[in-house]
Amino acid sequence: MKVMMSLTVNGKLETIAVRPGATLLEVLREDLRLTGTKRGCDHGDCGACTVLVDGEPRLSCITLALQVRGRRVDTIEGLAREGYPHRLQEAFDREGAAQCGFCTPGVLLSAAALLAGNPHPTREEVRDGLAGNLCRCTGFQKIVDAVEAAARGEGDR
Amino acid sequence: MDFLIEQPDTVEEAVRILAERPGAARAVWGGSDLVVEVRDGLSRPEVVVDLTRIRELVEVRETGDGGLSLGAGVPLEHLARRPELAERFGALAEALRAVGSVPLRFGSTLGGNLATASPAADSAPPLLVLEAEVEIAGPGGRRRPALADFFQGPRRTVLGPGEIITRILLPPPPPGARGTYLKFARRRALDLALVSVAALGWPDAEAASGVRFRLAAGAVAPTPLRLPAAEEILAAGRLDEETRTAVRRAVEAAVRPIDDVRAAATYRREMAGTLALRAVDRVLRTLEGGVA
Ligand SMILES: Cc1cc2nc3c(=O)[nH]c(=O)nc-3n(C[C@H](O)[C@H](O)[C@H](O)COP(=O)(O)OP(=O)(O)OC[C@H]3O[C@@H](n4cnc5c(N)ncnc54)[C@H](O)[C@@H]3O)c2cc1C
Ligand code: FES
Ligand code: FES
Repeated sequence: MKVMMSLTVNGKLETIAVRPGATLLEVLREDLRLTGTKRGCDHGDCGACTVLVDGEPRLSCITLALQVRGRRVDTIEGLAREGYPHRLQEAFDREGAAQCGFCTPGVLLSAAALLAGNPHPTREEVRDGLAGNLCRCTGFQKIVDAVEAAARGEGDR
Repeated sequence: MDFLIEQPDTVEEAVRILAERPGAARAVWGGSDLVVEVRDGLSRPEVVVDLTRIRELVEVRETGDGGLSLGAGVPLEHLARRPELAERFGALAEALRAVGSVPLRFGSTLGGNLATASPAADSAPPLLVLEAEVEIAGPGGRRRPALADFFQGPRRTVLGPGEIITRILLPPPPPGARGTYLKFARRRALDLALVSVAALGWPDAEAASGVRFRLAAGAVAPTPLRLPAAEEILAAGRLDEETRTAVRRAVEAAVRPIDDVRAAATYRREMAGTLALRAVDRVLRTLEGGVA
């Protein structure tokens, strides 16, 4: 038995029928076809599924879809505006902070939430804000460099 | 995952639904323990009762006497960022920042951390030294046991059928008290404590040492543990080498750690003594410095 719910995804109001046991991650990827949000571990450990709920980073693999009814959800698909990459995306591109790219959507959303609350974080604060997002490729240094570059306003659009 | 979901607006409604289906209904807030457990097939609830819509559970209130009442459903990251926590309940603020990661903390709660009752729960040692009480609502009304009486064993608590945690009450700390929390784990984020220690210390003219301490440890016994013998020794005399050795011995005698994949029992026992002394030193430095 499915249950109807509404939520705002990347600024657009969506009304969908969901299974009560469905996670937000499943609904985003399978019902709304927003496959930019990745399923890594499905256990809260890797951060690949990070999205913003009312502006706060949350792990969509352990959040039930019905728990965000009526809330505002932002995914990686909503980060670029009017075809222009977000300054974090610009910085990741320039600094070589993405390799395979699997962790990148989650990392970018964690970084966006960090900068929204703390526009000029120290390197330590960046590391702490991103500690929930595992990357198997980059070794993290370039990711931290890129967030710092974005915070300095380099690549602003 | 296959279950029905109920989304009550009040504590009373949640209690009613949970009490109607003992064993088959489970509460959820962040899901960081529950969803993982269900996904792994470790439990199969028929109904999941979502507590996130209950207003009362997300309130933080001054109790008027210098204490603080923390709703069981306030996200840990929100609590960690509150200035009154850093100012008056520093050990708890430090412990909350040690849980998991930022996105995990935005979706998990004190109610969930305490109800899961992991021996390694980061919120437990600071709440023990702060002598917190747990308000529980159930079919029989509300009660308020001390946290020290709440844990019954690994993953076992005094919560009965239909009961939920509504808030955690922090009594006013002793005047001039300073606290700290030390978590020893293999990595700094997203890892459970191998050993953890919370310490609270305050000036007390009646103690022979001039300072009284409360100590508690996590991940070294079936439940998080107060360390009264070590507390007595610290109150009795100056912190010289002899006292330090006695404190270490008392901590090592009190803990009952297990061997597991993450560490050996002997290692955990020694580290508990080491962390306890480090925590005491840290509190003494902040007491002398006069700042938290
Ligand atoms: C990747 C990862 C890392 C983690 N790291 C840490 C860590 O470093 N330190 C740590 O201590 N924990 C850690 N945890 C465990 C978990 O995040 C915490 O225990 C968290 O506080 C649980 O809160 P929650 O709201 O998500 O609980 P939920 O998962 O929603 O619920 C947990 C349990 O409590 C019950 N429950 C929930 N709320 C209530 C209530 N108000 N009254 C009664 N019962 C209730 C549920 O029925 C369930 O049995 C980690 C978990 C994951 C997945
Ligand atoms: S997929 Fe959610 S944390 Fe790994
Ligand atoms: S770029 Fe491959 S996991 Fe991070």
